[in-house]
Amino acid sequence: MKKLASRILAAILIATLSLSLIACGGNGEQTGDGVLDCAVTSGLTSLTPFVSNGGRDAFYWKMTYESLGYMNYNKELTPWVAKEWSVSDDNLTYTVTIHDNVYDSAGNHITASDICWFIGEAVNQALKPVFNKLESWEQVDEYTFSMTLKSNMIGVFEYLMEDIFVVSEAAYKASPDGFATECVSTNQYKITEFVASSDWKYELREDYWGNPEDLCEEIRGIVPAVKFHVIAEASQVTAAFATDLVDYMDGATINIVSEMLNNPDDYTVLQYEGHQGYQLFFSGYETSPVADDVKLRQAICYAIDNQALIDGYCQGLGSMLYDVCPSFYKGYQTSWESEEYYTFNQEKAKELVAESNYDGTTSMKILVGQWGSRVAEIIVNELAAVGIKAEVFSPEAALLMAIRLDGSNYDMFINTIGGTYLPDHWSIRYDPNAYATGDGTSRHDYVLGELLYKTWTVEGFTTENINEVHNYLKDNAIAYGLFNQNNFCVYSNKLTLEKEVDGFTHKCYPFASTWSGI
Amino acid sequence: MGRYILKRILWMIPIILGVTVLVFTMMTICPGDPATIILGSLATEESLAAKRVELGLDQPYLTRLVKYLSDVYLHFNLGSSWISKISIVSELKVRLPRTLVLSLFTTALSFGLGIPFGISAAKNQGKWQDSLCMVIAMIGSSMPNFWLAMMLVLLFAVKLKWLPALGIGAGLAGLKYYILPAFSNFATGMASAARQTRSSMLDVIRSDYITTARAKGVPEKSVINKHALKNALIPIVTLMGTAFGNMLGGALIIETIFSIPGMGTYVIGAVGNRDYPVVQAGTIFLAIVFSIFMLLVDIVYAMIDPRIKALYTAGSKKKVKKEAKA
Repeated sequence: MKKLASRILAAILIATLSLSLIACGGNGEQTGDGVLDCAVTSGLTSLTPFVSNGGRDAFYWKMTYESLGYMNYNKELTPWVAKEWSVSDDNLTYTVTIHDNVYDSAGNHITASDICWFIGEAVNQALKPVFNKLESWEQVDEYTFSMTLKSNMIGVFEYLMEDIFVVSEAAYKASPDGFATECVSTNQYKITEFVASSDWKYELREDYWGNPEDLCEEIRGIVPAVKFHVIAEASQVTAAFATDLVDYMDGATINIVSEMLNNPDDYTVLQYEGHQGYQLFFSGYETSPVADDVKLRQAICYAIDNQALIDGYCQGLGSMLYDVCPSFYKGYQTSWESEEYYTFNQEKAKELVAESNYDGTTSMKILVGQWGSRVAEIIVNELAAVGIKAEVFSPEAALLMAIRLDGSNYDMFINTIGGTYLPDHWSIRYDPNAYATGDGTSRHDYVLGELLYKTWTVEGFTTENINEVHNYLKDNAIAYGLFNQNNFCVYSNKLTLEKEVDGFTHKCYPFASTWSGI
Repeated sequence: MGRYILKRILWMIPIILGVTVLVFTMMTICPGDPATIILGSLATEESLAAKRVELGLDQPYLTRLVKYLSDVYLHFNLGSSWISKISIVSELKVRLPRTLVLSLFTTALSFGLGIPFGISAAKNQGKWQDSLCMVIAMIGSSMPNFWLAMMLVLLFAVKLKWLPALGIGAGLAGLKYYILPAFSNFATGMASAARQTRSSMLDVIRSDYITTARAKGVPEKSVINKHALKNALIPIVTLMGTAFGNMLGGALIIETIFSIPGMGTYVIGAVGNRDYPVVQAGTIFLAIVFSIFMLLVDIVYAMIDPRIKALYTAGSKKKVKKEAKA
């Protein structure tokens, strides 16, 4: 029996040893192979150009398809495949001309007809709400088309120019799965490997239709090959760096880079302000204790120690907010930073609780995604200190999405918000006309509604109007900016960053920056 | 024997059908609107309604169930993911083998080490070997796989640089990517196998026929290998079947830690997105694989237990006799 057991054990050990021998030499994807390996926590599930807003800002989209224009580092719309555009006097109709020499990697010539087809398809699929703001669109000549907006809301044209990907209708229709696993694009880069939700690789094309030198440096590909690796488990990112599987990561959070920050010999960590921030929204549903009780909402804002949140949640690497939105937003006023913004004051909070209609026994529900339950737990304790009972409700993502639209399911909602212009955020959260269909944080507040609507137009997007909305939101504690977590860009010191090119939402675009030692 | 296998295969049909109906029903009653998830919370009511029509969600439950069963079992069409639009069959083709390799490798490791440990413990009951094996089993069963995974990565990938920390590779060389995931997940299975083997072997070793064999002067090696082990194997083989099922179903944690794009991450990701076709197809395929494995387990039963074999052989003989009489 002993012999049998020994034999089995020996066989297993031999098999393991053999496999280990095969494995010797590591991954075969070491630094120095000419490929810049980038880590991402989630990635492309499909290559289809018809996608939702999620991941809109990910820089790999700028390597997958080209769009008509893009937002540069200064948040200005810059032409890409579009050559020029003009707008009608009423700010509703835009006429756009594209370059006449655009070809994709399969040799298809791109004309205005392809752009109009893309718009039509995007409107039908309704994956990006901005396409719903289009009234009509038509081809004017071979390289010119026009599009008319339903209203001249600020930022809509800019979003459309970014979200209209340049794709050949013929190539798309020839694809058996609508580019899901293999795409043809006009981009400087071509995808040469793709495993959905796992890893994918880009290589520079030699037959790019334009002159790369004419492109702005934020979208000009410098690195010959870039490979992305999805690493969902935060602790494994460190291991991936240590074993040379990846060289670079942007958009990392503190839990990913905390070890690397203490190891400057091996890693360079660039730190920058996050562009979303963390916010506390109050339910607008009539039966919620916070819906119509300004004093209670103000008490909650005073009871929250923002610095404690930054220290506890971001290990001190974050910043205070002075509005619901962080400074990244277009329309943000730096003058707000010198104003008083619910500085932590427990005594004041207790006074306001006493003046409010809160009965002292009702437990309020704080809705939060699973990513932010720790923030909610800290807040529950802080509220308890001033006599407000609260509990955390943290469902999985799909359920959260269903619940957040109905304000009767919660009293407070902790979220991070995305967007470029302040009205992006305002229109989603507080529009009284969206009370029935929109987010559960919208409310029957028509005074606020009027202030909001004034800022939505191109002409109305003025400092004065913006300040009015900011002051109203602040004074009435409609929502509260909690803190802004820093983001990090990290790369291995085996590489040298010779020229850094920052992007709109990211630090150091990997493909556009100049590296040595890849 | 052939009749036995055929009977077991026929049993798989209602099981797979039952799983299909059950998963379909559970996804239907599960809260969370797929249209809202696909189009986002900013979508208009018109867009959401159109999306629901496109996905067939406006149809009554029974209509959708019948259509789904017809698509899958009559037209062999599993459809495409609602989110990625990628054909489910093409994804299963690449993802299922990864999860299978991982599960088989882990099961082989668990039982390859667990059975000898159990035998050694039973043979040396009450001695230090017994204690040692059981302590190892206890440590194995109490070590969380995600913790073991981290420790193995730190040692073998980060420090020694022998093995890749994560990811997948192609061909034979790609097998190295499964070593750490398999070793991370094997401890619990090994512990169960060792304890089950010890317990079964102890029951058998105390049997009269083992005493008789020893009294007849049969060498101890033959007593253990030929007489005891064969009879003790039935519960161990049963455990192997369920352990393999657990490995298949529980692959998610290991696949996430090691960034393996297998069935676990595919199906769980789809559950979060309410991607019904992927959840349904993924579960059906996992159920098929599990049923096939359980069929193999049953065949092994028949091979190692003459009573089961005789049952079917006897059944065949009776039939032959009846035919002869007629």
